[in-house]
Amino acid sequence: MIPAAFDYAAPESAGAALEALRSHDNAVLLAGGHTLLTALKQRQSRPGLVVDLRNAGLGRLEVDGVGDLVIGARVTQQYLADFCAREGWPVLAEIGEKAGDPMIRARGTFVGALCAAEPGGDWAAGALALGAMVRVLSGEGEKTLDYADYLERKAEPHIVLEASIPAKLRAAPQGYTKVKHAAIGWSVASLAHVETEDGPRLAASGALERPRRLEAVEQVATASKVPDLPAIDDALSALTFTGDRYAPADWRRRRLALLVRDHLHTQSAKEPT
Amino acid sequence: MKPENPYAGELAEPEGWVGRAVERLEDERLLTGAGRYVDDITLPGQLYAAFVRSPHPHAVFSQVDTMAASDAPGVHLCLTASDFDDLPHVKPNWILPRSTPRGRPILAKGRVRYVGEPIAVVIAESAAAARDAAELVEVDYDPRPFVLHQDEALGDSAPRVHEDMDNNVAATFTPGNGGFDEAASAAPFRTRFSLRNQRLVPFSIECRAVNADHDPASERMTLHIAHQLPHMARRMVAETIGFPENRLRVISPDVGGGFGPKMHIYQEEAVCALASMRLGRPVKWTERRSENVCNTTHGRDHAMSIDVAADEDGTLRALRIESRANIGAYMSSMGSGIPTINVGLFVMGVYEIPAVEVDIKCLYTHTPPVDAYRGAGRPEASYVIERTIDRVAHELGLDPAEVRRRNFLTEDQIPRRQPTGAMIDSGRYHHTLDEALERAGYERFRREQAEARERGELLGIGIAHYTESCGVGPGQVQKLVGFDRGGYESARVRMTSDGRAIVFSGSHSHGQGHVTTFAQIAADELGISPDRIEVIQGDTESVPQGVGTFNSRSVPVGGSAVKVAAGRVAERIHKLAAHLLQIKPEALIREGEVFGSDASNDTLTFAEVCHAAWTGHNVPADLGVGLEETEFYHPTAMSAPYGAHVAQVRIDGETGELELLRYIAVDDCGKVINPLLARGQVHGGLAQGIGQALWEDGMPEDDGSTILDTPVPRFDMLPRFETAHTVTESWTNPLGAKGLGEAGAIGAPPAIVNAAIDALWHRGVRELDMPLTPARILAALDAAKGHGA
Repeated sequence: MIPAAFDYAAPESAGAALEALRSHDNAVLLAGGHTLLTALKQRQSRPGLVVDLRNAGLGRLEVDGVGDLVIGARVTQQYLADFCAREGWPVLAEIGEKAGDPMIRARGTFVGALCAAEPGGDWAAGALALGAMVRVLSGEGEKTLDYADYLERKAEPHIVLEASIPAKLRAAPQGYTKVKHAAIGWSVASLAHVETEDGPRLAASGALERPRRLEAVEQVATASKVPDLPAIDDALSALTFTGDRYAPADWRRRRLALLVRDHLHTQSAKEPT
Repeated sequence: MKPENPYAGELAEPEGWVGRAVERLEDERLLTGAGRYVDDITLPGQLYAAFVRSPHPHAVFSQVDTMAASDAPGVHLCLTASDFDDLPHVKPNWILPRSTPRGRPILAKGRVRYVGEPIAVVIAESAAAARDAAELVEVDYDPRPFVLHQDEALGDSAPRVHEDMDNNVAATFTPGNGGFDEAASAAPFRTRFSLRNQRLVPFSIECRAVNADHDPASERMTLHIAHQLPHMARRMVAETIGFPENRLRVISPDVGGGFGPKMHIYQEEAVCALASMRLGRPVKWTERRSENVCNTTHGRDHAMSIDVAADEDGTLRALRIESRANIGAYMSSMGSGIPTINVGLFVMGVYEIPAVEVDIKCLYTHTPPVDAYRGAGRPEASYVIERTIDRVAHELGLDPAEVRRRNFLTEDQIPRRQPTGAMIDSGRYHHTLDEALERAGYERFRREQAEARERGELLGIGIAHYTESCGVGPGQVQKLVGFDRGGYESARVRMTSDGRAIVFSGSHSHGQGHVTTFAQIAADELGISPDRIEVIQGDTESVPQGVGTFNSRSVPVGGSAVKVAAGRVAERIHKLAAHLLQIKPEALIREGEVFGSDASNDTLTFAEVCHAAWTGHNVPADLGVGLEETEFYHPTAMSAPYGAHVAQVRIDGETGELELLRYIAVDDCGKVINPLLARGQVHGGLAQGIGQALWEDGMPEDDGSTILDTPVPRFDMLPRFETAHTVTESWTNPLGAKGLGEAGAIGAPPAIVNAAIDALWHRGVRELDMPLTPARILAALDAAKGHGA
């Protein structure tokens, strides 16, 4: 790999990393690097400064005092997956088996995946379904945002210090189903589902411009536990779908609708009668 | 009940080393990271090359400004076409008679014809410096209209790829025995359809690489190239740049996959050699994957239409095939031969068809050049005839297996030259098909399929009974078709004084395992174990002039050369041992490592005889000093391996997703030298063939840019293969062997597409083009539904 030349810094604190990020008008953050390094390799990304978080701490992974799962910016996907499988955070454990491959999970970070929010990103869909929060450090100081809001608002230089998963959904019925792209392993249609007292929380990735909650589908699924395909398809109609030669947008939309139908049917069948 | 043994079939228990599943002798080094590839070789004073490539499929330009690049840190040299008074071109090596060859200029001059075409090169102290400086080169492109598809390239108004030509037709080929119209009009059944054999991008794990080292003092040059044909590489580079071939040495060390594209010379090899000559320092270039996609040759890319006539029982009466081959912007090394000879000769497959007409046109387009890729023409030929058989069967409501049986050439018709020109040396097609169908549980599957349809499930079974040709064959045939390359292969077998042997082979492994198989062949002749035999390949200064590895020729031709040379050495050992023991050769008895006779107690060990040969102390004049023999083995004909492959699929009618349930491959490559390696060859070929059937598509994007994310088959995407062999030995070589390296890539695409259409025929789907993406299958189901099927 021969990227275009850039300066490199590995500050020893999140604050120093933010300062470095703000000091340069073309600086990027490096955590696990699985989004950035690919772009660097192809010279699609030409940063003036790469700010590496490797020395900045941010490796926290624990259940905090109120029972929320807290995941630091440098926690790798595999480390998180193992923790979740061991400690009982089911949908994240399941995504850990389906996201990327062992090499990607070994280097890629969970928070990095949330920040990149790649169209086919698995973790972002899971985080949206789980109602994840992110703690953000910016020039205005620290604040905690709903991850879905963060995706809408992120702009100024900032660092996501950690993400947290609310305790209240830990034991809820949940699951993740995925259709993989044959070329690149990303999802072409996937669905994260968490069943709450208020109804299902559904988030999709792969078929859309970026992972997102499927609020309209949630309404349909709340009205009927096992909605039919036309109803689901209608609920997806307002969304913009993307595709490629292998999996065109129209097909991804149909595939996602089927995925939603089948997933909800499966979940419904699991419930005690 | 057939045994589960994966080596089963008709492989006899071997008497010697040939036929044994010897584990690969070369693997420990390769698997522990101790392989030595071109990019691992860094020479004193090493410089690095980076190429400036066209972003346009078609553009003209008047200026290439290298000033800023030349001034960049670490840069030693920038070259463009204007730096050459007489700009060299990489000429094709196979020029079909009456074709219109246009070779690649080593750097584009005034016009670019595909995305990725090299325009300039920067030579610098480091690869990074070269790459950075290459970005500073400015070209005043003026984009022009372009044509990407062969169908569009034929039109009168199509942009011309080469402005000095009246049209874009590079070559035409029309084999067959004629009489189609008459035979077809007399037949009760006739159907027409069309299909595509899509463009593929070959991916080796090791990309191409070259390190050119010119020594001004000796005026000699050494080229390290990742290549399949070291001697041909030497000749082709020498011809391209006008360098004396006798001062040019090519070393191909470990090569990490070839699959066809590594048997050509490209612009980069010539440019690096010329740059090294100008600088007096070694110049290395290692291809990046994005360069692999745009400048290394692609494969396939045929659009075909079929017109076929038959009796009501499926007996074929006439076949007409029209093929339009997209060969890209320039005629690559074998670019005119692959889509014509290698397709046209073999479109009849294993069948008797009374009247056949084939019309093939090769078209220039503004795309990367197309050339040989694993199978090289035979996959296209096999695909069209095997799809045709199934089409006929389905339309007539017949069993595709039975239609094949009714049209097979029979054993009493073989050897045979087909009306299209294909030579078939051996074949027991009924036998091999029966073996494959039994292993597949064909009848049972048909019952399960019918039951599944009752439940609305879609199961399909597909057969491909391919044949092909291997070895390249006798030189006079190559001359006839314009292929400027030998059909022979070389081997030199030399004993050393300690009773060990060295085999020098003109073949060159790029993963096949020659170190093991050639050692097995020599071991049987010499009567020693393979681990006492060293196999040397890939260096033009140690290996006798060879041709190299392609066309599944290494075992039938290269292996035969080893067998013949080793046999002659064994004969000399025998005579010398008898001489040293003062007995007649026919009285000599060998027991293991010891020579003796019934006449006396005198004995000599095998090593002592070898030692004596190289001291020459007591060697009769007619035997001569040493123990070394060289063979340039020239086959009398090409061999025609064949096989019956069966695929079983399940298709989800809602999603269009296809699941490959089972894949059964029964191949007949004659004598199997090493069942373990043979299985590896079949597996690798199947992976690539399945990749073509289900996922891969290398056609450039609509704007002419190369596709960067075509799927590549991986281990976890494939089923467990079920392989076996029937053994019908070839008379074309002393081993009785036929090639196997390309079998999987030839058999899998038609078997799988036939299976998919078999699953969907009752739903009204008549054709599916590769790759069988879920979206494409679903669209076909939708279209069939729309037509009231």
